[in-house]
This record gives sequence, C-alpha cells and structure tokens, in this order.
Amino acid sequence: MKKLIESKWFPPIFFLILLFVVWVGSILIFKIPTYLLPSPIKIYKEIAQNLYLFAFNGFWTLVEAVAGYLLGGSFGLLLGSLLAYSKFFERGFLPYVVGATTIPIVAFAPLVIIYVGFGIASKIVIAAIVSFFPLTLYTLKGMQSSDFIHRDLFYVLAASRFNVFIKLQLQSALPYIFTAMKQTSTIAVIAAIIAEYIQADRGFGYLILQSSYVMDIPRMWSAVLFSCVLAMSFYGLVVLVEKKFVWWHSSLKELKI
Amino acid sequence: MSRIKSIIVKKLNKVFESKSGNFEALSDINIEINKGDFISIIGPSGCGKTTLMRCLSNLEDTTSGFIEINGKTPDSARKDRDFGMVFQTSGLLSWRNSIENVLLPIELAGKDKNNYKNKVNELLDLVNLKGFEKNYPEELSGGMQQRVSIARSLILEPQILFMDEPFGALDHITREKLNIELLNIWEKRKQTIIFITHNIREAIFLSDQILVMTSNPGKIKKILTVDFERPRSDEIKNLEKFKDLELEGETLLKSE
Repeated sequence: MKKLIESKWFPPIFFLILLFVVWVGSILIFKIPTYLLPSPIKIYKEIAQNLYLFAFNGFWTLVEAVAGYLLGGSFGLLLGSLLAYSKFFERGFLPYVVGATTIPIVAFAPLVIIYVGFGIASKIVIAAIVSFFPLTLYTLKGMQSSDFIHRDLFYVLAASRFNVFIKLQLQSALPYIFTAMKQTSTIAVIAAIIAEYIQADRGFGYLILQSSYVMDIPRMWSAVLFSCVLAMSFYGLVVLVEKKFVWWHSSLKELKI
Repeated sequence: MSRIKSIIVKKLNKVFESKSGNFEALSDINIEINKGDFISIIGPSGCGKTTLMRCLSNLEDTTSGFIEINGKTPDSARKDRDFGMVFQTSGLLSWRNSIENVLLPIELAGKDKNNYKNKVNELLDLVNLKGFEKNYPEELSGGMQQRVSIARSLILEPQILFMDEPFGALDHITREKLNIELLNIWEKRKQTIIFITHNIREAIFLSDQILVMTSNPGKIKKILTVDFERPRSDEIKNLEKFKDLELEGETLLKSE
C-alpha cells in the first residue's frame, strides 16, 4: 500500500478515478439531466461518434496555437536578447513591453482579425502576441541572472561581449526561457480558441460556439476536454524538451525536506 | 635583488562608498613580488585579502595607488591573459563536464580546442581526476570540483595565478593532499602564485613569503619569509623553525 502511495503513477490515476466517481455519482444521486451535465459515458459516445469532427477542428486549433507559439516565442526570444544585450534598448523598450502585457487579448483580438483577415493567419498572430511578451520578459530576466562568480570568471578570462552572451547569459537564461515556454504553451492554445470565438470557420473555439447555439452540451464538454488534452500534450512536449536542455538546473531536481 | 618583478603595488588605497558611509578596505598597501614566488596572504575575515586580490586581478577598481602586473596595468594584463584565477568556490559551469569546463578559457581566448585535447587530459591527470573527465560538476565532490577549477586556471599557462582560499571549504585531510598537489604543479611550472588562506600552517608549508594583514583599515602588518628548502615534504611541519613561524604568525593575527 505504502509503495502504491509513493509511486509516481498512482496518485494522479487515483484522483482521476475519484473525479469520475464523484461525477457519475452526483448525476445518479441528484438526477442531473444531460442538458446540464452529461455523464462521462455520454461524452465518450459523443467523441466516438464524431471523431473526425473533433480531429479536424482540433488540428486547426493546434496549427494556429503552435505556429503562433513558435512565431511569437522566437520574436520574444530575439527582443529579450536584444534588451539584455543593450542597456539603451532595455531603457527604451522595456516600459512599453511591460505596458503591452496589460492589454487584454480578448479586447485586442477583434482588431487583429480586422487587420490580418478572416483566415487562420489572424489566429496565429493572436497566439503569437500572447507568446511574445512572456518570452521577452523571461529571456531578459534570465540573461540578467547569471551567477556573480561566473561573471567574474568570464571577466578575468577576458571573454568577448559575444562570448559572455552566448556561453554565459544564454545558458543561464535557459531555465527562465523554458518557464516562459511552458507558460505560453497552454496560453497559446487558449488564445487560439478565443480568436476562434470571435471569428472562425473551424477550430475548437468555433465548435464550442456553434454547439452552444443549439445547446449541445455533450459536444461542448467534449470540445472542452479535447482542448485541455491538446494544451496539456503541448505542455508535456515542452517539458520533455526542457529536460533535454536544462537538466543541470536546480529547478529540475527534487527538493529534499 | 635584481629579480624580475611579477607584481608591484605602491600606496594602494581602496575605499568602498555606500549609503551607510565609507569603508576603508585597503590602506597604503606596498608589495613587490618576484617572478616565480609563492606568496600567501593571511589575515582575519574582513581584512581585505580578497579585495586586494580583486584589485590585482582587475575585478575591482582602485581608489588610489599604483599596480603593475607583469609590467602592465591590471587591465591590460587581464586582456593579455597573463594571469589565471581560482575562486573560493569552483565556479564551474554546471552544464559543462570536466573537460568542457577546463576548455572554457581556450574557447574564450578564441583558440582551437582540438589542439588542447591532450593538454586537458594531462591537466586532469595532474590534479588526480583521471576517470572523471566526462562527469558534470553535480557528480563531483567539492574537492574534485575545486581541482577541476585549478586545472581550468592552468590550461592557458598563465604566468601568475591568483588563488582566493581555494581549499577553504574542504576538510583538513583533503586540504593537505591538495596542498601537496599544488606544490607539485607549481614546482613543474614555476608560475608566480598569490594564495589567500586563513590557515597559517598552510601558508608556511606552501609559501616563500607570507603577507600578514590586519583589518580596519586593511593593511599589511608584516611580511614573513619562509626559506625551507624545496621540494618540501610534510616532514618540515615537525621542524622547530616551522613551529616558531607558526607561533609568530598566530601572535601577529591575535594581536589585532
């Protein structure tokens, strides 16, 4: 029993089963109708019968989220690096970058759709915007967070500015960069869905909105669950990449208490 | 005494300014260090040993006074990579293994690391780390990490080596072993070594001269000359002269 509790896979599965029991249990006990809360079996049936529908819309949401994520993330990484490289740019840009993070994407997204158009490009841009700012700020912060002893070492070794940047600052920034990349992996999916709410002809946002017009609750729940799975898989993928690049950092080691 | 001077310091002063007032870290320091000598700096905590070394290695600006390293200003000596440095903690890069850490100065000097493959192995051998070439810092003990950092400081064969309490955090026995290793290395290469320590026995065992410092303001109180023959072995620690020096050093340190 003790072994089971301390194992890695048991706790999450235990709570998942618990969730299902409470879910199904409360539907049976309180006689909740399907149009309010469908049972997991209902949702399973909905998904099984409409697999193509979910796959098609999921695919487009994923494409928008990932493309936006990569695009916005890359630009964020570049701008963050530039700000870390030059005090002039940091002083000049940082206040506006911080200011820009306060813009609610829901308020800004309709403008983007008007400017960029009705296709998937506007959804990609919206996902890119939400990925851009965290990457910029975390990259900057990370690059400024190298250890003092390493700075002294590089100074004594008469390292060039470029080498300090590549061999010290960028490496030291990786844990921060991955923190931002994990954060934005899920946010990018959310942003894509929000963009689809506003205007789209495909994607989970579109599917959820359409289903809500006809009160198709099982389909809405299925789309919500699918979105979660999508965001979580994306997140998981980034975690795997992180392990490959920053295994050496203390944040990836277990805390001993 | 017409030997070539590695380091000349004249009337060096260093004042740290802060909101809570000025702090005179170093006051009127005058030193001349011969090429190839092993010099220890000893003194109580906060007496400015590290500050002095940071001024010599160009990590800190001086308030007033004159420093010459290898006949140059500390800044140009640093840029010419005339000196290497070993810090209180190893300062290894945790994303590099032992070999890659030792190669760092080569990369930063813009040299081709492929030409240094043999040399890295020689150095790691010299500091007794054979078999740990591919290990990352987290897989090494504190003493091993510090030895990697010593190898790193030697790869460019600097003429001067600054060592700031390199073995301070290690246990007594490891420390004595590393001292002997260090003497072996020095005897082979004959760099000028400036070595900070808290430990008077360590200082006597290693050095040609010991600069005894006093705090507040940081000054050099006395220079002790140690003239045991080299190469030295552990046995000199039993000599009367060693004990006399140890007593003298301790008296100097206590009469603060």
